[in-house]
Amino acid sequence: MDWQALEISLKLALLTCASLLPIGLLLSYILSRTQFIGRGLCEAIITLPLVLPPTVLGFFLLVSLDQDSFIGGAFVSLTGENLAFSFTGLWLASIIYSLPFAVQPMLRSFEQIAPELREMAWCSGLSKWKTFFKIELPLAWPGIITAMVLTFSHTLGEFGVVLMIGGNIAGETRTLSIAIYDSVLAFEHEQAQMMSLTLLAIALVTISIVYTFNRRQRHLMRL
Amino acid sequence: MRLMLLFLLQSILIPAYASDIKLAAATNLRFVLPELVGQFEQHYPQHKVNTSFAASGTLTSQIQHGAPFDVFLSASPEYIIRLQQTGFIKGNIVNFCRAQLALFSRNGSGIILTKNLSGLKTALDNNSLNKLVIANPNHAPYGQLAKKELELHGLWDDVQPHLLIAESASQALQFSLSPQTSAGFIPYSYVLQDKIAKRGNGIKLNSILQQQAVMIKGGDSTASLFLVFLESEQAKVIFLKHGFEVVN
Repeated sequence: MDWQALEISLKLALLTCASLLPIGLLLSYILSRTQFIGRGLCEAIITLPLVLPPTVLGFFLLVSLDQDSFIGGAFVSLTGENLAFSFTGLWLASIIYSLPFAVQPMLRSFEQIAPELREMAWCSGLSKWKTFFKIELPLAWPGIITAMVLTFSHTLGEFGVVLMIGGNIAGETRTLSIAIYDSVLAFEHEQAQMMSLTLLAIALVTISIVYTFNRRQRHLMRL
Repeated sequence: MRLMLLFLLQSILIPAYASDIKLAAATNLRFVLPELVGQFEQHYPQHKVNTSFAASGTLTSQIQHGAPFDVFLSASPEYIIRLQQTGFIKGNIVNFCRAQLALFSRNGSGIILTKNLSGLKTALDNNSLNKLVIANPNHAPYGQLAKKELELHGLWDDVQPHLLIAESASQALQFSLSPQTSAGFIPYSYVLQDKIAKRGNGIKLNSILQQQAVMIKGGDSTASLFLVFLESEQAKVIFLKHGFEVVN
């Protein structure tokens, strides 16, 4: 069992969740509350990573994180560190890669909240921020939980993109899914089996949490 | 929760194991390097070595895209030259050992192993050849060598419909052990591994690859310790044991 790889994977998944919580809330709230030209295109761009082959995403990321490129070059001159083949680069990639998994569930649950509820809150004298935190956020809670769990497990299972831009560096970019691939090639099948079972268990537990939570929430709503 | 955040922050701000030596190593060294690294770390307990294995061509491309390796161990001089021309390496090139290609067939595949590949020819002639595995000649030195070997014996065109292309030498080995394959071209050093010898036979072919190591530009200076160690008597013994050739 490669504990270092497990640590990297968990760290990456937690950090991606932490970053996508505010990003996802902002994007899904704007998309659910406003109408503008190009909204469809906006939603399509956010959903794109869901349907793109990881190699395509990986290739574009590899090219744009390169130290000769605009983003990669700017990062090098700011921090002195290289983005490609670094943990930070992987983190950035995961945010893009898991974006649809965070935005979609949040968007759906914001859309389900009747606009009248918001207007009633305003009439009762609640400010926009208070309405958001006291009325809308609690109602959208199941969607937000689903978004976070999906982001977490999806990031944990990321393989293609990590292979393209990670480079399998121990303690930096060797995630658990890469370590599994590596131990199959090294003929350490027991290792691979143990790590695969670990990922399977984590995935099963997290998805069960979503289903249980959603059922309870629906039950509460009915009451 | 606060502790977790602190842990996260700390792990972003302080890059893990900054004083480590990061090796980018060709996959044919997969079974010999752990032993070498073990010995090295016994000598220098203050240094930790992290190894990433991939085909030499893949690693070269990663280095050119800025992968933070300190030392590159290539299975072929071709990739070292490419990095040298584009200014990605520094210091001397270390010719640490020479490696050979082997033709391998798993138990029960029925392929007769000969140096001139006559067994493959026979199987082709009587239509009993299943898949034949080679590493990808586009970026794996062992694939290039296998292609040359097949060309030398006039079999390259005939085996085309049978070729199974692996991503690297280690994947070639993995494929070669599957029941759908008749034989595969793999590093000779793999054949000597117990767990592989149990499952098939290999014959050493004449093709030789010079293994070279070099320091990557921007690599840690402690990495030179590892380059020196690669040429030590102690390292030579380990290389010999794993079926590599060393110059005395």
